[in-house]
Amino acid sequence: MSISSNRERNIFYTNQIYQDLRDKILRMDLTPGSKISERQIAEQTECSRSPVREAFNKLSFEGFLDIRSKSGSTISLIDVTKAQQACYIRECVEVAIARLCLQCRKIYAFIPELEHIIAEQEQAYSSNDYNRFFDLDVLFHTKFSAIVNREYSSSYFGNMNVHYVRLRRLTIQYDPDPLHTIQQHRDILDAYQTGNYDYLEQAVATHMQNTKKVFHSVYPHIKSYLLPGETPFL
Amino acid sequence: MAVEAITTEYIYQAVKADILNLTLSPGHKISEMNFAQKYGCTRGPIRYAFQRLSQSGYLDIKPQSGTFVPAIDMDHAEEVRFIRECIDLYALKQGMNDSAFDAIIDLQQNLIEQQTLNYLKKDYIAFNHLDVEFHSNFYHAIGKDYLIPYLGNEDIHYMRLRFLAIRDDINPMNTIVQHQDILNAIKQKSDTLLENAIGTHLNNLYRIVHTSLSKDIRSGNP
Repeated sequence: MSISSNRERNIFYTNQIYQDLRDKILRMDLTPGSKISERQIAEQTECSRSPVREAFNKLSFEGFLDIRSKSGSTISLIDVTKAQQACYIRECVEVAIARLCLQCRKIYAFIPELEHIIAEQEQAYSSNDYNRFFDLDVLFHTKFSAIVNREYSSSYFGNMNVHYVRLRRLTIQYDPDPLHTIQQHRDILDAYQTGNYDYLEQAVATHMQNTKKVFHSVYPHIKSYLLPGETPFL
Repeated sequence: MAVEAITTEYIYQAVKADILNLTLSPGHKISEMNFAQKYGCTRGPIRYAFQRLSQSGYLDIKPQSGTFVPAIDMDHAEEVRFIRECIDLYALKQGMNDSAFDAIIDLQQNLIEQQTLNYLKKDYIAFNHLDVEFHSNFYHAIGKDYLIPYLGNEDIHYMRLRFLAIRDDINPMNTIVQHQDILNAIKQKSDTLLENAIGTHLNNLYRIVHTSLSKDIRSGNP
């Protein structure tokens, strides 16, 4: 095997491991604060240590992991301050996208599809399928940005994204009344039907502030996942 | 070793600034040797500086073909501009309605006057600095400094496009007038005026770039 193909192979493994761990962390299959070791991942994936180390370094740089000397690494705890910042930027962006959607009449052709997503969310809720519920939530919001050709890239939020996404998942899971999320989605569609921009902005902003609103009741359940210290939203 | 680290840092900052202000044009090939001569140092610190610049997206190091200043990526610049527009529209409107800007009206008015002076002196670099300061002040006033990086001031593509727009503007007084419009809207606390002023201001870029069809963008396409 030539040196360059060996190198390419390692880059390939690094990307695979990076993607896989990144997804598991974002989906909370690997929970915040839990330990993870290079050796263990190398054994599981039957890779040498160096592509694993590369992937770990990248994940650490992007805030997914905390590498702590030789004793091992841990999945990063959720930084609520960063999540709060991402939450606000998202509010700015979602409101602007809603305005563009209202201006371009194309949105009305998509209402049945959006209503269908809401119906599926209700099903996911009644079967306690939080992952499905979350994915449908993402799908619902992505539709609007796609309609006006402003698809999100997670790079918008940079290193805040990992904190924000996980906090949203936990909020959905421990929300004492997830049905109000569904109601807020309905309110957004209703606001489109009225064609009134102020209603729409209000409906979208209210929905975006949901994480903040339910944080208080969710907090006791998720405290161990959060970075200690001053916690905004409380 | 310490001296070399300082040299690297110095070169990193100097080259970064030259990329952002278009002294090094987009798409341009650069060599370690020329820079070693220019800065009167060995190639070691130049190589380290280039590597760091490449890690932060300021240079493309292509194996076997050389080191290049990246062409301006218009799609990326537009993504950054759009996020900025979303943030400016929403956060400034909120700040205005919460009276958060009342205390900085005079400060901002003063910046507009300084910008006029810089324009008359054709000092685009200082002009640009004041531009960044004008916009950042609003975020400082609402206690949301964390939003400042999302205004694209560190983004290599968006920043160069802006620099180009300022440099090639046939009538740069437009930018100054637009800042004045933003400030006036805030004084009057009018949502509509503010939205219009911000919308016009942030689309300024395209008005200028499309009319001048600058050589930097055309030659910059890989």
